[in-house]
Amino acid sequence: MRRAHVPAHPPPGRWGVTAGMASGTAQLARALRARKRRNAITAYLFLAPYLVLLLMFGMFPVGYAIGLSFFDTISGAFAGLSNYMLALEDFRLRRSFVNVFTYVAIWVSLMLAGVITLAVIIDMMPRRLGTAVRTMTFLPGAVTSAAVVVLWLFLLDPLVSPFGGVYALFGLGNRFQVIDAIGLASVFALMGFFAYAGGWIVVLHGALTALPEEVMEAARMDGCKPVAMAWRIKIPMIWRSIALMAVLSIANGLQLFVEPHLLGLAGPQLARNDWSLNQLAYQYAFSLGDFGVSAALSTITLALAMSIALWIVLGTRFYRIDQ
Amino acid sequence: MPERHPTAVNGALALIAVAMTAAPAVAQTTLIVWGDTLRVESYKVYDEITEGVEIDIVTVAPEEVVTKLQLSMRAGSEIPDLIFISDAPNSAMLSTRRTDYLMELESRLDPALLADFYPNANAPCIVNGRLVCLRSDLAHNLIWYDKQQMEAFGYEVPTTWEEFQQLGADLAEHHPGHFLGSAVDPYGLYGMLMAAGCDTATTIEGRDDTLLVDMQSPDCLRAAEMIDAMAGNGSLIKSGPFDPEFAASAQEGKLLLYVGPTWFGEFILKPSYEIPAGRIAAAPPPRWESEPGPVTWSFGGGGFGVWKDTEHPDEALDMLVWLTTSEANQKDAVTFPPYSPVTRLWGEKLITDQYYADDQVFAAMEEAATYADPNYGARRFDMPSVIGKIVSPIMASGGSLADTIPALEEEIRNTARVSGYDIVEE
Repeated sequence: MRRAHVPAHPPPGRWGVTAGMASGTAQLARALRARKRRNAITAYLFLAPYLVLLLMFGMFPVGYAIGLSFFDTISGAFAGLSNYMLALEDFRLRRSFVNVFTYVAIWVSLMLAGVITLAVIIDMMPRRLGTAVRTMTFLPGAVTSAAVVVLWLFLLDPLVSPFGGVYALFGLGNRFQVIDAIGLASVFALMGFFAYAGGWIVVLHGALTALPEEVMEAARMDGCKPVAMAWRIKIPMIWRSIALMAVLSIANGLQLFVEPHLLGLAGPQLARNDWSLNQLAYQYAFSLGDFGVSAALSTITLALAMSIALWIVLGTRFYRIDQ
Repeated sequence: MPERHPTAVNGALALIAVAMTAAPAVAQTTLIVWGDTLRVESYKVYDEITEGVEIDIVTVAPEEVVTKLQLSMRAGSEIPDLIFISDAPNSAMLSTRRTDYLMELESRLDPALLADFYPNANAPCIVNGRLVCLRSDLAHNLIWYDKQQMEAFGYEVPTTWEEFQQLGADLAEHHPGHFLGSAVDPYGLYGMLMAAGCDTATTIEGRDDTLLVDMQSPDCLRAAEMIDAMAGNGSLIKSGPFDPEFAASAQEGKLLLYVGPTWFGEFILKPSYEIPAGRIAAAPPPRWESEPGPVTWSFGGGGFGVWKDTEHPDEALDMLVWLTTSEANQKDAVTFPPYSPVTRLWGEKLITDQYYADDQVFAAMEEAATYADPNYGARRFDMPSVIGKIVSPIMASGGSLADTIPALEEEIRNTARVSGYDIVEE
């Protein structure tokens, strides 16, 4: 690209004034390089506000936390892996770990099944109806998760819930019994599904509409029915978006905090202050004042999320662009 | 970030104005004080009546005090000189090697003043034998009952827990649907276990950071068996006092009697359960038959503490004493004041309140205050959340508290160990 139209050895005769031309092409090359540099500078200028914020509020806190996890909170002395040992020895860790993984398993399965199905169905709808339905599915995602928790606390309460009849059918008389019967992991997964599904439906539907029409046309010509087309052609063609959703959902799910933290709003018998890994880290920092162990727990959670993401990305050759 | 009140700004502007009119400037001491919205009014009044001290008020939500203080101590700036502490565990959380905030008070205050607090009123302020805060209000349990309904059914107010259990059995047999409390609410369960003398987390004199956790004793079991029996016959129901189901039943007049804190009448029975005037009365808490007198647990009540490294200890202590013991601040306080001379002034309005069925509500509260459990103290972890996690789900699905005691005991021991306590098992 750089020297594309500057022949290395200009044929004699046709390019008579070789010396003059050479200096001209050198100038052109310099001009091109300068323009490229200017383009790069412009790009970085546009990126700068984001990069500054990313460094300040994204990278720096992560680095700071990783650093903290190796130091003793009181003396400030280097503590090696002792914070990690304390975190791993905590009697609640195993329970929180199981809780969070159960939640992630249920939630990510729900997301994969639900979001893909809904995106494909919307894709099959006539355009206007599809857009309307897509907007409807997106709306719950615009509500913050704190508000979602409160909303669900109503939905799970037989006294006020529209599903009161269903709960009565199973003999569940009050909210506590309903939540106990469904299980906390499933309750949080349901909350999470309605909070996040809409956004991902938009993303997957976007990916589906970008698929080349001639491929679909060819499939239809070959007698492919809509369901088979979705299952055998459309979904395999948008697998990257699906893998992205899985990676980000897992990373997000491992950090579960707001939902269990706010459950106490429904009465002290429902308050759970160490249900998830992040809550445990919070307990260490803000009940015990042990920022070191708290940082160690956060780093462990981060490492878990990163490993799973890397495993999916490498396993699916996510970033290969040779197709 | 904590919200700053304009008082400080206004104060500063006033100061500049005074300086500009060339009046001799008074040397100003500024105290940074933290409190929830309820406390702001008191702080403002103190600011107005005190000369030479300016109060910089920062509103901090009660549940965020420990968090924010940890951060501000860590950052080493904007550390308040005086704080409001909303909950019993907080004074212990703020007196650890990591966050050592609170000033020792006993050697700095008049012993006569401390003696006029109700017995054990300041127990939640004692950490390893040192007094580190003063209570702002007390919330010990007593009996609240529907006098009209009790008389209609022909029942006597129980004076012992055995009679309380019998009342539940009678209700279940003759008036099913009426009830006496919750079988799942962790605060209620905790209160009943403690009234029986259960060693859920008892401090040991002379041994710092050491707790006795022994719950397989007859004392614990008698409470657990009573609760199981009453949950079984439905006289303790499977929702908590803040649940809509509980409130709905109470509004229908089904709640006959409840062992609850001093604020239960004014803040739950009246506004939330909407019990009509002329029905509610109060009585001292029950005792166990074999015990000489009642021991009663509490549900809430806050306190004030001072920073041990404050640059203005005299001013901060003066404010602390004013907040907790002055007639000006406590006579019209929202909840039961801890300092007996002003509490009696506070109680006058309860005696004449036409809402209650008789004029004995304050007398019952005051008597109950003398039974306050010395174990209702500062621990570095939140016991109700441990009970809510382990016991409440079992009770909700019809299980037995007596059978759950070993698991609860184990969880409390583990939680206490993680919080830095040594555990004595029996």
